[in-house]
Amino acid sequence: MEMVMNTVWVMLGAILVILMQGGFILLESGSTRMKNAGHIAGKTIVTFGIGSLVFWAVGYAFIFGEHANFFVGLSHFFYSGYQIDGTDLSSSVFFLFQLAFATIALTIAFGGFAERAKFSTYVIFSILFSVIVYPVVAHWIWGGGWLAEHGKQDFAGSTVVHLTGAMAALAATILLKPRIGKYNKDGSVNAIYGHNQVFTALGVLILWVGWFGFNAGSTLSVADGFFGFVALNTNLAAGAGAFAALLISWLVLGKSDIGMILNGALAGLVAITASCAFVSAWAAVIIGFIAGILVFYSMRFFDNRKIDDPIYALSVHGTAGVWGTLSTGFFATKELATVGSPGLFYGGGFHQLGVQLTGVVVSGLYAFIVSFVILYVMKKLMNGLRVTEEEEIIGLDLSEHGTYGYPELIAKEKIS
Amino acid sequence: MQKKKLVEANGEGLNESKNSRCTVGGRVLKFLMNEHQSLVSWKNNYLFKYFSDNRSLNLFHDQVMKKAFQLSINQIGPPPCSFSWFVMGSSGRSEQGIFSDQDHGLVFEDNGEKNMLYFRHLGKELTDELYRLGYSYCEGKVMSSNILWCRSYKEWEEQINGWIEQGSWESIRNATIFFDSRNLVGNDEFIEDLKRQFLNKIVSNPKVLERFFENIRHVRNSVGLFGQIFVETKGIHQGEIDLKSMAYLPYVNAIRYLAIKEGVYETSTILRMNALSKMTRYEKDIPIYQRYFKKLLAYRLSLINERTSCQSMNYINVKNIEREKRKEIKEILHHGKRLHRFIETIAKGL
Repeated sequence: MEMVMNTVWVMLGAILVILMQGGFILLESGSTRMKNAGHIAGKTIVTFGIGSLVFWAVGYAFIFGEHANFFVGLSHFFYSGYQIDGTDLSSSVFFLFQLAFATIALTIAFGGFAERAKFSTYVIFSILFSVIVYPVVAHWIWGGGWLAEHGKQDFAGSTVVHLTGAMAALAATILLKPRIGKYNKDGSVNAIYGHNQVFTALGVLILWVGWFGFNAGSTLSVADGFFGFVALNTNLAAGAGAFAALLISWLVLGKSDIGMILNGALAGLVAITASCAFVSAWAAVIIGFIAGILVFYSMRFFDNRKIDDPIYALSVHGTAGVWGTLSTGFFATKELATVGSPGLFYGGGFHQLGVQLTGVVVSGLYAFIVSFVILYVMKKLMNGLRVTEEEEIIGLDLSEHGTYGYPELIAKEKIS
Repeated sequence: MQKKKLVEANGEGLNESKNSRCTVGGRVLKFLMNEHQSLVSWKNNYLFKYFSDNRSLNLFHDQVMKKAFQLSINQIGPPPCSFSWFVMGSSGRSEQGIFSDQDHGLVFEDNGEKNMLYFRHLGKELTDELYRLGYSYCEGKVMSSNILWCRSYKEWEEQINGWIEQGSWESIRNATIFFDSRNLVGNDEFIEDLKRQFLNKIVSNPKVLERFFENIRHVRNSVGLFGQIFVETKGIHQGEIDLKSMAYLPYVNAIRYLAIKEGVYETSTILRMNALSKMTRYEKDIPIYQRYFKKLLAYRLSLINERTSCQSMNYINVKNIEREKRKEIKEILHHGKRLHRFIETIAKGL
């Protein structure tokens, strides 16, 4: 009976996490210009499809297969749904749940590509990221790899999913260079406003709800109703993140910045992802609140360094992911630290903090370097990762797909 | 004297009010209207005699535009100083089809506000006169009526320098359009001098060439993996090939880029190709592309019987083409793509 309940619960979690792709579609298309909306929505769907196939073929095997070498496991390739020993739920459902996570990492990575990458870039990077980048980090932390052996705490993926995706996004933004019009010759930054803040807000809400699957679903079990506690922490951190971003934008800018509030909520969610099962409710509030402050400064930091990140993936998923991973090194309680040791504030000393820091640095570096190399080679072989200037100005809906995301009228430039 | 109202885009003339009084001004206007109407008739009568040959067709267009200029001068008085009325785009390159839109500009001696006002007025007059003669307005507003394209010599110097220095997509596009300019009426030294300065600027700053290459990198996919020609899938041109963007522009843009790079002053694509073919670096490849481009120009002219407007000139229906011709078009499309790959290796110094 318990196995059935676990299976139903994790299936619900998988559905919620897959629905987060819908949140990302709204968030990403709303935060960018109308002329690219269809392209962004479409690439999210197709990369989810490609990521699913790659995960089925090799991803799952690399992460959860028999531990074979330092980097990956090597069994369960082309998983066909058979029951795997040692799990208290249907292995197929566990597979789907993990697949959903892998594709979220991919979608986060693509935030850094927005409004200028070729469609073919998305397709090829989907495959390579899902084979070489994500599975290695996931195997190290969740698949019995070396970081798992050190007791690295990352309950639902602040590092595995969010930081890995953000590091790939960072490599992409560096190689793709900023969008046309983002920076002036004197280095000053122009705001390129998204076309629909309602979409963005709705996207954040869908992600927020989806996060109950992401975090609470990661209990993989209904035993003792512990998932409820994880969901509570998740919600508190999100609220604190939104509130902190509101306060900091009010204080610094003199205005309550809607975009900032939305990113604050997401940053709170990302930060609590690692620690949601290891910390008390009051700590969840602090973790979320600090994430909301951090995301504000992080966004400005990247903007001023000419790193054009249209969806703010680096700040929301990267900076908050780092903070969230480190936070368990401070706040993990004795009772809740079922993995690793208690944090600094609970008598654990610096040990767990050191493990968390090692995990962040090594995983982040690995994801960044390997993504950078992949994209660099792609750039050389594909005659660039980016569409031409003319295509970028026309908008990717028309230039890449020949159709409108919206029935808008775009003036034709001509030279005849 | 009552205002006269334009009625038809094809230049069928003016509606004269029945109550128009027979003043001297009225007589002058009547005379000008007759002039205009006779020009319309002349153009319509003779135009179709020239479409078997690209060169004579373009010479004819030049004649029509020169007469339109004269008509405008008759209307507003003689120019107060030295000037050049120049054409750009397909007209500048002497590659107009039977139907064409307008692309022209004015440069004049810098002698204060009076001159400026005169030439702005002239620019507007010329644009409207050409429209009445059947040359549609340019969507991109590359016309003498737009102050961007109607400037004193000094302003032109500053503007061209600014375009090149700014280096944005739009400013480079404008500089590119200007590079196709050809003096039609007036002092041709203006255009020559401006082009010389333009090319000197490029020579002294080779990095700018990259921006010119970037500006033309976008080439529409024309032939698929299985050798099928990509056609329009929607709208009034469904099932048709966009000859202009898929076949014609790839050649024109690529050759213009090489002309800028190598300092070739010619404006027509064929003449640019001739000049480039004399250079060791291009003597092998350019003649091949020239052969296909000539075929394309001839093919475009051969379609004229079926065409009724400037827009439809650019489209052909695949179903109406016999097998042999289709193969030839594929070759033309394919070589347009190849030419772009060729200039890419040149641009990247490979």
